[in-house]
Amino acid sequence: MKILPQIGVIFNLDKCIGCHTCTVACKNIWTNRDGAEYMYWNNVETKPGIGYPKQWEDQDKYKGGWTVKNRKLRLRLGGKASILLNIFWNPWLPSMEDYWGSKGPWTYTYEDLHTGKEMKTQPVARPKSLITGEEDIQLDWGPNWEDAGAGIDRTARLDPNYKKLSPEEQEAYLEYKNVFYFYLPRICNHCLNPACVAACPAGAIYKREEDGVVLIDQNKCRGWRFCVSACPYKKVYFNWRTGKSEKCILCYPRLEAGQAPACMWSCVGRIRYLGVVFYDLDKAYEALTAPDHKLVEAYRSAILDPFDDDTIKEARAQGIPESWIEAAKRSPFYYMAKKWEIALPLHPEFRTFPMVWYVPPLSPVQTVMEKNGYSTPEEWLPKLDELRIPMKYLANLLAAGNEEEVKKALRRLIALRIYRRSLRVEGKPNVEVLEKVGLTVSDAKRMYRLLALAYHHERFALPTTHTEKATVPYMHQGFAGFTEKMPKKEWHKQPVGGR
Amino acid sequence: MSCSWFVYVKDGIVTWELQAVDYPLKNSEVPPHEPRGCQRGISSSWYLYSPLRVKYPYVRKALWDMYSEALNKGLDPVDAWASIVEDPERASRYKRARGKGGWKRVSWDEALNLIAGALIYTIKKYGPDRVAGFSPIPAMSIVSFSSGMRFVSLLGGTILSFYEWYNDLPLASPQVYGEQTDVHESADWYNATYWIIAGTSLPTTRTADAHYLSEVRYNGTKVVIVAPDYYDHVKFADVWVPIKPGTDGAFALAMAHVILKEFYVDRKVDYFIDYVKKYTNLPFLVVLEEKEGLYVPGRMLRASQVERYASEENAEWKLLVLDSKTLDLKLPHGSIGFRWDSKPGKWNLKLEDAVTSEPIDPLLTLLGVEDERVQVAFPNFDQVFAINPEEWGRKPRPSGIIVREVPVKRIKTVDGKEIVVATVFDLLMAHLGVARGGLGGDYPSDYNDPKPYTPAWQEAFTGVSRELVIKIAREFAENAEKTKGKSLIIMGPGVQHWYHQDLYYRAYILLVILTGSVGRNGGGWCHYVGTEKLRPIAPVVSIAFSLDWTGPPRFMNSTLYWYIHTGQWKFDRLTLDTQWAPYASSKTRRYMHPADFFAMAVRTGWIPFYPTFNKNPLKIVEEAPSTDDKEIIKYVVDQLKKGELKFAIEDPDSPANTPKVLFVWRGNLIGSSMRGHYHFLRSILGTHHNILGEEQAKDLVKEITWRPTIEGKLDLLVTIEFRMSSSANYADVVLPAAHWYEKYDLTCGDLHTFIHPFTPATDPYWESRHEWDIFKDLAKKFSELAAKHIPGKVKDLVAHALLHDTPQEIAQPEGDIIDWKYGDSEPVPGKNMPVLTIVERDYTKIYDMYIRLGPKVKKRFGAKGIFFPLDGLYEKLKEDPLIGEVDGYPSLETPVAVAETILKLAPEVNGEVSYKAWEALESRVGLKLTDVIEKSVHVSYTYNDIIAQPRNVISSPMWTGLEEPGRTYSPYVLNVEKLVPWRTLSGRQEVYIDHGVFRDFGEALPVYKPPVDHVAISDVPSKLEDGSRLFRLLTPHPKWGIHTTFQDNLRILQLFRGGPHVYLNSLDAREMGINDNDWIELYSSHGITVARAVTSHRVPRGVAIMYHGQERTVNVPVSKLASEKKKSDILGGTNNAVTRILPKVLWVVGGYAQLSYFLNYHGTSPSERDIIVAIRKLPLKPGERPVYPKPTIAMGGD
Repeated sequence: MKILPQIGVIFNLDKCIGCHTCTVACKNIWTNRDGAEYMYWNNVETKPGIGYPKQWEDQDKYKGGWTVKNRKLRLRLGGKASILLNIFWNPWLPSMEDYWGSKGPWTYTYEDLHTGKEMKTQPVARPKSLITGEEDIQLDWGPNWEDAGAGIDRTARLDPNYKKLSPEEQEAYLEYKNVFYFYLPRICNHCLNPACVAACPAGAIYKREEDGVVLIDQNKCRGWRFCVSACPYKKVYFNWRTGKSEKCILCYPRLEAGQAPACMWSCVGRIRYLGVVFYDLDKAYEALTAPDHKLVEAYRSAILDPFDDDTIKEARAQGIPESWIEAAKRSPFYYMAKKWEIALPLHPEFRTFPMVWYVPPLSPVQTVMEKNGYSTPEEWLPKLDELRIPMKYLANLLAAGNEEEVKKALRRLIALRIYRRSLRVEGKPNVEVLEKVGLTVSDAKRMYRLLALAYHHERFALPTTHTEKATVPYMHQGFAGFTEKMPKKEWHKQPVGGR
Repeated sequence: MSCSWFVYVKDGIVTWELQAVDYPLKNSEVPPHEPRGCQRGISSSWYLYSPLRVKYPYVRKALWDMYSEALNKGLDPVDAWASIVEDPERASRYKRARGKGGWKRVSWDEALNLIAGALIYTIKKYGPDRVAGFSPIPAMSIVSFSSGMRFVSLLGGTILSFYEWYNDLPLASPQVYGEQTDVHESADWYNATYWIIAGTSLPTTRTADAHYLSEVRYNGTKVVIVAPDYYDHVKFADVWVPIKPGTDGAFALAMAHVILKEFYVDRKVDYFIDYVKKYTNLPFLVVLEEKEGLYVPGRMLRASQVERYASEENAEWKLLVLDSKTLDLKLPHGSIGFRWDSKPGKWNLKLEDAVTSEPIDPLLTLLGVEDERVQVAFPNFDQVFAINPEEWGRKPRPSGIIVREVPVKRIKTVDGKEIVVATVFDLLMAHLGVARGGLGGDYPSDYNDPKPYTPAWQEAFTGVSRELVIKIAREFAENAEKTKGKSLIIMGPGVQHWYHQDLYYRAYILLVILTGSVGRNGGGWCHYVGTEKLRPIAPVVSIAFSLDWTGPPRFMNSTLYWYIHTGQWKFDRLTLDTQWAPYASSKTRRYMHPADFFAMAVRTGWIPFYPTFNKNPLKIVEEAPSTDDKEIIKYVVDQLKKGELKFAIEDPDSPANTPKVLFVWRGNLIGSSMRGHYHFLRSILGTHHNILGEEQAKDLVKEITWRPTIEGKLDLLVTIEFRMSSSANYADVVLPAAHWYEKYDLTCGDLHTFIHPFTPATDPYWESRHEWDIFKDLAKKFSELAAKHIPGKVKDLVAHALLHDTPQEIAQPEGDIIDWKYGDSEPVPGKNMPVLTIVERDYTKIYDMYIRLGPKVKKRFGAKGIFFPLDGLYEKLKEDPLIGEVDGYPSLETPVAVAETILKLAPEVNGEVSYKAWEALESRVGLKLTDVIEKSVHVSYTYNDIIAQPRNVISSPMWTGLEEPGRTYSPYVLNVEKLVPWRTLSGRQEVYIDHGVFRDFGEALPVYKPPVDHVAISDVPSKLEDGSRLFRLLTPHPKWGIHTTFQDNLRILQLFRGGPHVYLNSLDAREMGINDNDWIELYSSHGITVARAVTSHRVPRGVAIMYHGQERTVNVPVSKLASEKKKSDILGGTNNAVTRILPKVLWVVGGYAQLSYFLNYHGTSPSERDIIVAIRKLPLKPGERPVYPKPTIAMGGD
């Protein structure tokens, strides 16, 4: 057993209100610069829909992620040799148009409102390309073009998850009475098996051993952009000004100080959770080649139980700090993804073993074609088979097509609701409903806390970094407030207590 | 805005913001209020340094050139101003230039001098009521709001309301509760076990609170969402009710039908019955009037009508019930007469006879003990206008009558007559068609009988199946029965912004009343539009409206103000005959046009209007033959009676009767709230417009002089802003305001109970300043200039409406139109005409007063009818290190001093003041109330305390909830638990409203009236352009902005479609040849809007959704239609270009208990979201792009 600590993230889609506060938080801090203006390290998109960049999920188009051939993992892009062959011409890249439409990111001629001479009509801030400077451009696509179902009557059919529904279903769900949509917030998945790392010809991308955060060394990056193609989530971006790639860094400077990343801190829907998990490197490797319908299960099996004595013993033996072991026991990721199995990985079939998992959304009861077109639900709370969002769609998105995984998660959410209602309204707990879906009363209690009440420190169970492993804190302390770098080479020679 | 942010600064630059997460916890049973702050809030830092920022003072160059020329000739600012506005050519020169760019950067001194000169000129020539100030939502930044309000109030200017003008005021709230609005904090929603949400998308507009919606489901709560389109909140529903827009009234009344039948007849639920007996006017008696062989519900039975109680003080304002044991008439405590009795102590909800003190068990129904059964006529309006687009344009159908039998008692009155009375409950049962006890008449046989108000009946209007209505009604009531009222309805503008919003709200409110859910934690109704809750209301009202020095202020209902002054009344063909019940009285039928009705309402003291008279109010006093105030008022009444003096509303296009100077700050009047945008541009500003229709009320109005419309009524528009909004763009003077991150202020809201500060992350950049400092400097300039032009004291004749929460609310016991102009009575000020007061003003002392807290608050301080002396507290303010003194008065020199003064004087954050307030209420009510505050009496937060951490407010009698430690805030808990009456006629929740006008309009009980057919009343051109179709235009609050704020913010624009857009159903669009993202034109008789189409099957057919507040400063191209029609304004308009002010006249009924005026409490609303428009694809040739207006040469104004 080789234990590795990893930051695991949960996004509860059942709570996402689609507000994009996360997006702006990230934008303000990290990509509010020339060369990065088109980037959203965090974005939110509407499903069904084709997203940002357009059709990022379509790997026939982009060749991202991994495939299994002869029980071995291969990058879709091809092996090292073919990457090098294509190094001056990489055909599987999204264009600026895929992110922002034909003229790229835009601004407006706001100054017209202040500085113009008296005109015959009212001045107006006209749209202007941030890339070419062209004015009066026509905006035709953007990073959240499909918000709240905008235009999805056309784009839904280009969504690979939707395309896999039957033609009749595809038709029916584009009618007013059957309409559904939900929001999908996305950041870098900080995968256990990152395709971007594997595809980088320069070896500039690395996964940090202490917490699994995937980073790009800006000094090493040569701008080949194979990471952009290889990432099946299109979460690596090329900075056209610096000529290097950039991506979500999980706000590691905040993380190291025990603060939630900006997108998560700011999540006003309180859908985001983050914590330490331990995984078994050997099992994780095994899991990657499991057949599609077993993928979720296989991924879960690589996640370790932080309460297991052997795991703890091994973690200590491997030098994992005690505070991290304690944090792992409070990890929302462990509970939701592993213990209760209510969270699922986004497109597990890309086989990168993503570490942002999603709780699937409940939805209003479906329309049944009777009486004016709308049905009346039988029970107080809707049953699984009454829900509006097709299970198949969710399974295509979150379980490589395995509907049972989605159903299991949703059944448990429903059971929790019925149980809580029985407590509050009827005054007698309906424990049976929990047992039927394999939950105990104490599970339900904790699940309720985490899903509904969770305070800031419960959503983000974060240890701080252990800098003492990488530096001499006593020395570092003095340099911390000053921009001059500490003389790295001399660390080990410094006598403890002397300066 | 009511969110706490950490703002990060590096190298003096604000770099980003993240929410503060340090709110105190309410209790461990509900999720915490963190983080608070949404996508808009977090985009705020963009504004600071953006190219949209207003950095310096600007004056319109066309104006500045003439003005500076006059100054150079040696004229002083007042004379220089006169030389421009008195010359029609010069005046029209700069007025025509409004909104067309062309700015001159000036110094602060130059700008303030110009404004001061214009003010003095206007006050001297026309009077102070020709000056007006508009700034909305005080709660959002209290000190900044108070600044200009204080300045304008000290001048005697007009204070323009915002709450009902924004259509945020749920008129049903004053009608049913006598309360402006009081709602649950969002954490209290969590206590509910059944939610209905209608007309509000919480994730969109209550973003920071929406997590309670997602989380409450895990707590076992069922969520039903009523919405025409599948929007961001619907995804959280268990059941989506896809209702047709504007038909909520039918849906909710059908639910009430089911609840009454199943929980009051088939099974009698004790909890519900006890509740309605105690807390509603359902058991009270109504006199039935005989009309043509039938009976019609009339006035409530009064103590003055029966011998036993006729000698009671205020007997005309005390209502009666029958006791269920003795079947005798009884006079319970609590009706409004008790509130104003000279001997207080019986204004409470104890069910006890006021004379004998015996307990009362009021009889709810007379069925079984009736003297007889009579045929009662109930009005029906469901066919007045058509719901379905195919029928739009048909002539309005008159209302009808449904006759149903009602059990009654016969009673002898004091004058020996015998009258017939029924309980409100029995009338409601008959009105809603709930058959029982073999009562005859036109009752429906069962739920499937499509007579009003059965589940089957509503189907034709709502499109919702009867089964669904029955199921939801049953569950809603059953849930309330099991949980003692934890059934909740959350409402918002989707139900509210209609012409009959009050009826739709009253219908929903009826559901929570009947299920005993109001005044329970986790139960009742709440309404979220705007951030209306100004928690520290008493000190803010005192400071902002300068009640510490002067008063009464000139409070104005903005809707009426703009309806008249923008000339929109001239375009209004929605005549009142479409609203009358068949039996409406001849008095009501006198006023066919809304403008006529309003003229009557102004002269009878129901509603204010400014300018009030066709003469300068300073001159009226000057010309009076006496110097004695009483004599002056007598003289004024006489002049009015003779017609020598006229009300300005009766001649609004006379040049002296128009607004002359307007201040706008913290708001975007022109780009955001101005319904009938182009009418404002035309009449008020005198600049370009593209109104397509014609004036058409000439033959409909009788009370108003018809003259040609003045174009350019306003001489000076001053906008204080930090961004170039439309209101800045169209102003004559733009002053740069500090951004929120650059100022000290206070903020609070309705969705949480904390009060917290703004503190500057950096000082204001460039030449921007805090509004408090701007008006302080203006006050100084003004006072200096006044010393020369208006030296000494002057007397001002202030006329205002009969006010709620004062004894004026029992001025008109008739409860009907008493128009002295028609000889209904003799005119008496304060009785059947406005209250007239002579106010002394010293214009040289405006600055001195502005910076000092005046002594008037020492003896009388408070709000909402609860007043008490401050005594030593006033003196203590001077010792406060954050306040200090100026010449022996507490200082208001700095924003921090103002904030600290507010904290020190607010019952909500100061236990000592709160105790005094509770004591004051206690003596009025006659029940122990101070126990409420005993635990918190030591609380006294300073400004520094709330900087350290936002603090929870404490209980205050200004509000209806109780702020006990650990308890989430729910409104009306005070009334239910402590038996303090609601401030209504009966002191209870008013299901039946007996005012004569309400009865004549058939709205005494909640009735269903369909939305307006605008095609039938010419709000849409009679001939549509080729390729056009009619749509019901919904204009909900946006996800991508807060009104217009943030919709021009690059962060936000980049996140959705980058400019104005309209959602259309995908099939409708396809049929019209419109693709997603095509340009379209929306038009009505009132103007043209150009936007991008967004197609989606999320939207029902026949409906277009244009999120409100999309203004015309960003990415708006030229309209083809405007060019084709050769209009002076060719640019596409705001979303309000196609709307207009559509005022319902019932909302100005006054002088009658809860139906009395107060600022932001009562008055008519624009109902602009009740609109039908035409839409066509913008006709572009292949490859042709729309054109944007381009400035010729940038002149480098910055």
